[in-house]
Amino acid sequence: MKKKVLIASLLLAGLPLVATPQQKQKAKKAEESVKEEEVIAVLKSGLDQDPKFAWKLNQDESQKICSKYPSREAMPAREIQRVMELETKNINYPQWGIFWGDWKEGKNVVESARGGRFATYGFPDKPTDKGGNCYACHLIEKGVPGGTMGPQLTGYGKRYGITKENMNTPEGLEKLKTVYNIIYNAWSVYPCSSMPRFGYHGALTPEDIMNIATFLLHPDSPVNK
Amino acid sequence: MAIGTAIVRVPKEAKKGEIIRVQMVITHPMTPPRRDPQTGQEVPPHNLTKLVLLYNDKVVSEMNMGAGVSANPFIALPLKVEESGIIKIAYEDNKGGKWEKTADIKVV
Amino acid sequence: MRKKAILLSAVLTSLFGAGFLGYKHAKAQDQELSPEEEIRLVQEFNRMMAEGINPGEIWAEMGKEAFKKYNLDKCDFGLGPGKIEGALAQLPRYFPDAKKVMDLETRIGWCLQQYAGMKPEEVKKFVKQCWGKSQCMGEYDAIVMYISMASNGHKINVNLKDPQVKKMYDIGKRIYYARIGPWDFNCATCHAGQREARIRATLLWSADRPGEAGKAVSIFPKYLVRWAQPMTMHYRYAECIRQMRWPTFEPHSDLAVALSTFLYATGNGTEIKVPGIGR
Repeated sequence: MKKKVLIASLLLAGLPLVATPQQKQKAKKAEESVKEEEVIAVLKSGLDQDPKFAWKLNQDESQKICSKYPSREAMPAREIQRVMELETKNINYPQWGIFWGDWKEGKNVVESARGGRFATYGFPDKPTDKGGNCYACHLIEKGVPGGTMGPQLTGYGKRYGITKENMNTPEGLEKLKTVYNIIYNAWSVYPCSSMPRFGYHGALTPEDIMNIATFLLHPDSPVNK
Repeated sequence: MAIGTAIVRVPKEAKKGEIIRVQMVITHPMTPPRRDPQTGQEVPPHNLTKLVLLYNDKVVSEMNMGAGVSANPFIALPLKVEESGIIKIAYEDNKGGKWEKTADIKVV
Repeated sequence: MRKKAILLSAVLTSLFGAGFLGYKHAKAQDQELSPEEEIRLVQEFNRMMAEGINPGEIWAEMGKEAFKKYNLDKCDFGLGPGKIEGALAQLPRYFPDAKKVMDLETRIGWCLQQYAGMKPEEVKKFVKQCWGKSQCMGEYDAIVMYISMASNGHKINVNLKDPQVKKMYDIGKRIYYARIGPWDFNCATCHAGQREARIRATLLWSADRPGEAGKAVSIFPKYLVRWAQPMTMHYRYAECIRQMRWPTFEPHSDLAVALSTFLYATGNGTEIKVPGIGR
């Protein structure tokens, strides 16, 4: 009798695990009834057809993979690995390698919201404006309002354990390189993250990104005070 | 319809002696004095200056406004009503515009 | 037998413990810093703005005259020529005379071409006359405001049983989640997910949390205090698309209809309360 109860409870516990993959497949089938090409055609038809801006709408392979899933939790491991593989290849470093940059310049790029925001009606954004708009999603300096879509970056360098003594050691520079990689190509570390791949798309130059990473990690920077 | 249009809203009926809220919205850009950052040229302010609330042709409230009031201002004034009649607002701005708007109130 | 019981209870406890720890970790990341004060002030401001008369109602009065001026009393919004009470609540829908699914603004654009003799380029100019400006008393915004306010109190009821509408809904849903553009954004970057988040000081609604899409969509056109003029749905799309760093949006396009179908259908059942007011 006890054995039967045990087996029955195990089966009941296993039921939800069986049910959800079927649901996922059903949802996938319904959405696949609309072809990807048709979706992209409708999307492009609604935007400016000027060939000068056509480069903005070329979907690369990682974007195609990420478009299939609403979030990283819904992605199979194989796809996650594929995106990470593709993106780790897409990182470029400044010509002079990994060295601490200027955190004051980094602060300006972090605070500016204007990069890439040109539109043909009204507003004074120019195609040459530069900025990362980091405060839209992150809280960076203490007391400055920011968004909560991304993790908090207050005291980032302090939390990483970077001090004036160890910042130029190989370990310190390795930490700088890790943060540089995240900013340059966030999908190499967090595949299909909401964060744009600033360096890969050319929105920010490698020197800008080095300055931003310095702003986040340098012991003198206001982020770490 | 342009600058100076107003909506005046009062309750349809009120009891004698009741204090009602006269709500109004006036379209007006209410631009503060500015200086163009590119050319350095001064842009003079354009704002409403005075609003007078009349109840059966008797002045009840006067309000002076400056450029600090935001665009398309919403104003609500309290009014104690004793008899049915006409509530009128008369307002003017600093570029010579003068307008009026009325609403009826019935007192039971 | 005993061993099995011990094993089973051990597995269950560890699963339960892992779940509990995961929940605690997720909560710890929601800790607010001092900008909380500023956020609370912004929300208080929005609450105060909601009482009193909405300045957008002046545009509705302008719209009444413009409606007749452009012969829109001949236009069928789905309930018969010139009937606008409850029209917004059943849009977007399929129109057999245009052979397309259309939302309110696309239908207005089509009717302007049919009954007011405007050419497509003129319609586009007419729509965009107030984009990027402040305190602009535009006739197009007035018409949209007038027609939308006539549906106040009705509940949004997009007919998803119609196969054309369902197709647009599916396309809109796919576009919502399609990563594209030089900053890898899509609508879901901000407006999806279960976790409550904000962009700078503004709380974000999510299409994945029930009811929020409806609350966001049922108050359009929305009077914006910072630009002292109303913002229609297509202008809102144009602004979102500009912020996503995509090329400029074309109003009255299939993209707009797909997005409108997805958003209004997600908000089915929400009561329409136009005009809304916001920052």
